[in-house]
Amino acid sequence: MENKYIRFTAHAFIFIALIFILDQVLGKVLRHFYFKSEYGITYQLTYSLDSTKADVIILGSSRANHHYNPQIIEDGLHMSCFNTGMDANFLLSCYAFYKSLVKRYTPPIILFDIIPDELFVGTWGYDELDCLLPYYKNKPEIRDVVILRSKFEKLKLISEVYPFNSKLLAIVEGNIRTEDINKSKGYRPLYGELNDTTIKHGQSNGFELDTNKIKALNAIASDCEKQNIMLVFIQSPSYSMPNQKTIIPILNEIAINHNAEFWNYVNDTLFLRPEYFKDELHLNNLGAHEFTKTITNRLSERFIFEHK
Amino acid sequence: MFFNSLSYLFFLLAVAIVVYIIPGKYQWIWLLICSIFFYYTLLPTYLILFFVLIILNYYLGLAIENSDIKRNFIFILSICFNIIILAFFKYFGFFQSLVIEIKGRSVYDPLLKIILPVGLSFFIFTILSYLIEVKRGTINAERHIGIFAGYLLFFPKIMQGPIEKPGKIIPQFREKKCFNYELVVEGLKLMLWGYFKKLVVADRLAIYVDAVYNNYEQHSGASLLLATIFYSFQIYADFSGYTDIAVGSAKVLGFNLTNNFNRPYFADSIKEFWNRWHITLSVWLRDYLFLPIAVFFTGKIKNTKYFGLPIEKWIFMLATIITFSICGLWHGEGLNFLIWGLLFGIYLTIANWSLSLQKNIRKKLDISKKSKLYRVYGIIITFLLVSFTWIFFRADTTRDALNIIESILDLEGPLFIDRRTMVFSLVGLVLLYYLEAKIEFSQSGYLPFKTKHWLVEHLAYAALTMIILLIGVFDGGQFIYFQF
Repeated sequence: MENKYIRFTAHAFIFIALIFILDQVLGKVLRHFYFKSEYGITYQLTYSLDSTKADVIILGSSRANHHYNPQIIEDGLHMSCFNTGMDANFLLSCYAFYKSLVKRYTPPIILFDIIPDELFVGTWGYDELDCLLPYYKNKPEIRDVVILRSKFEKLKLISEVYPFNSKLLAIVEGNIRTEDINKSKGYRPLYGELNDTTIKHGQSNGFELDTNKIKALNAIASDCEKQNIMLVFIQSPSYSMPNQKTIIPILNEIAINHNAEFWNYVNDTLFLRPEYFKDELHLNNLGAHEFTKTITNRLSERFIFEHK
Repeated sequence: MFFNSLSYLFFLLAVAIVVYIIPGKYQWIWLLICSIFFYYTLLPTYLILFFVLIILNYYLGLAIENSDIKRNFIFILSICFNIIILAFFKYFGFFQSLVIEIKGRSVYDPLLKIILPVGLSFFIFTILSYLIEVKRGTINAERHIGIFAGYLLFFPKIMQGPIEKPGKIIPQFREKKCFNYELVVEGLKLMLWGYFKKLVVADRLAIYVDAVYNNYEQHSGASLLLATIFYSFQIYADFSGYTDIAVGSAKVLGFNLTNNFNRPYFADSIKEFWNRWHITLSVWLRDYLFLPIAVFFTGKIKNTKYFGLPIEKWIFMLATIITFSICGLWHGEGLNFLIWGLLFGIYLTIANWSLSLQKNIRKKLDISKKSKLYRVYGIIITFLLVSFTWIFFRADTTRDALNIIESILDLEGPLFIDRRTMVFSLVGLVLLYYLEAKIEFSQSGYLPFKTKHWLVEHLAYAALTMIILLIGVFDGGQFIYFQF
């Protein structure tokens, strides 16, 4: 081999070795502090995946997080409840959450809040799987979901630093502040009222359905049926009128096929009041209070009915 | 396959390995095949258009060179032909929407929708450059159609330039590419620096800019002002990041392309800014538009004063305004792009007309043009003037741009805070400008981390890789100039 090739190979090797060392050291430090977090999103995520053993689990995105007050459900059903909902925690992330939860224990009830548009191709869900990257290494059960993020995700995950991409601030905050998650039970209320009270009409009908997401929904429903978990798909209220011609039959069909429930409150006029909303898609604390009471009552009735 | 994807890195690695293994006489064939494949992964439908343009312009170039009588006619015909092709794809949508508006049809017919083939603007400008140089006799028309196609389709520059003159690149396709350690390493360093600019700075800033500009009605003047300043840095980091990756990729393959950016926000005048920003386009506009227009009018108009100003000042104004209007229209069909170009024309005209006034003021205030304070003042003023033009560039329409300016002047309302984006953006910007300032004031080329010890340099680039991994945006958007 010529001298220039040997020189290039040697330098390339040294450079890659330096990257490897830096990546390992920095990655280990980040991992240590990430899992030591006791505040914020990172803490809630780790608690949801590793610790909660609540009877009623709420799955979903920001709408789940801000719409269901676990304390009201606990008081109404006399069962423990935890809200695992998080901003941008869309359907595929929820599927990973579900897999991780049922590996540890079997919650009797799962309330799964679904956003009307999220089953379509090109909507949210894949990039947002990044919140699960730190858990890829230790949780084999979620790997098949996480790698849906991109074609080269497995390769990228060779890096120790990559899973903590863009999470540095959350890690720092999680290590300098603390919160009592047993008090909030995951619920983060929103305050304030809607400014623009015009009701918008959605036009999502006609988009192509995302097969990965449909498969994930079916998998959750089928597994819940096997494990005797009461699964309720819920579309919580929004201050808009989305077009749901495509999504309702799908959710109904999955629910019927797997002995689950589908409760739709999106167009429920009972909640279509500006004072209940922080913005078009999110209920405020007052709205969440009313909505959770409705859900709790319906769950209670369901239990009384089943008991009779 | 885009520059900011892992697929591209694997592709480049494969191209580079093969190019240094195969004999020199086959290297251009391999590079041409790879360039065709690269474009095929982007927009396969339009490859045929590029092939047609290559074949036609190959023969037009030969015809310009060989014909004596109809030389000018063929030249003008070939220039018009290429401009019509570009205008058709660039402005079809604009005229179509006008027709739809006039006819009152509310439904847009997707069958009639024609999208601009990626890189066509750069491709056509490269062709025009070739034809003009052949006409001027500075180069001979290329006899080898394969090499001609390779020059036009060369994948590192097909999407967003640099707009290379034929005299620089075509001979490089004829040379045998031997593995050059220094060139390859320089290319790899430049690529890494480009990825830092794109992933850490541009795509992070884009999150804030898009959030504010895409819903500007909902945001305060303070947020719009910050977003405008962020956009100035975003577009620089985005486009110069792209260029670094393009030029770096070419170096890895043994080619030298022109560096399109020379730290433009360190320019202390608009004229200097255009000497440092999108250099190959500036040179193109200067050589093929500004100077010919200026020369044409100089020969036509009597050398006298009009409204107290010498004729050369008026000619400068005319040539500048025309050149920058075309520059604006080259970027897009909207009136906002025309205004963007016109603003630069106006800035340059005012600067040119007020040269003696500026000199007098400096004399009265006893300020040297070379003083550091004056330079800093010039840099800040230039940055603000350029940032103002970016409002028209970034806004969807002129009306939006004017509304945004009105809000900025109001400066009322709370500042939109996206803590994570702002903190990471500032980290990236500070690092970028610290390193660029070091390069600028030491005049040490265009790469950061020039140290005497190779291990320290390796460590610095490894740390840069860690920063990309830690705070880079990996699901960010496409390069801004991709749309042009």
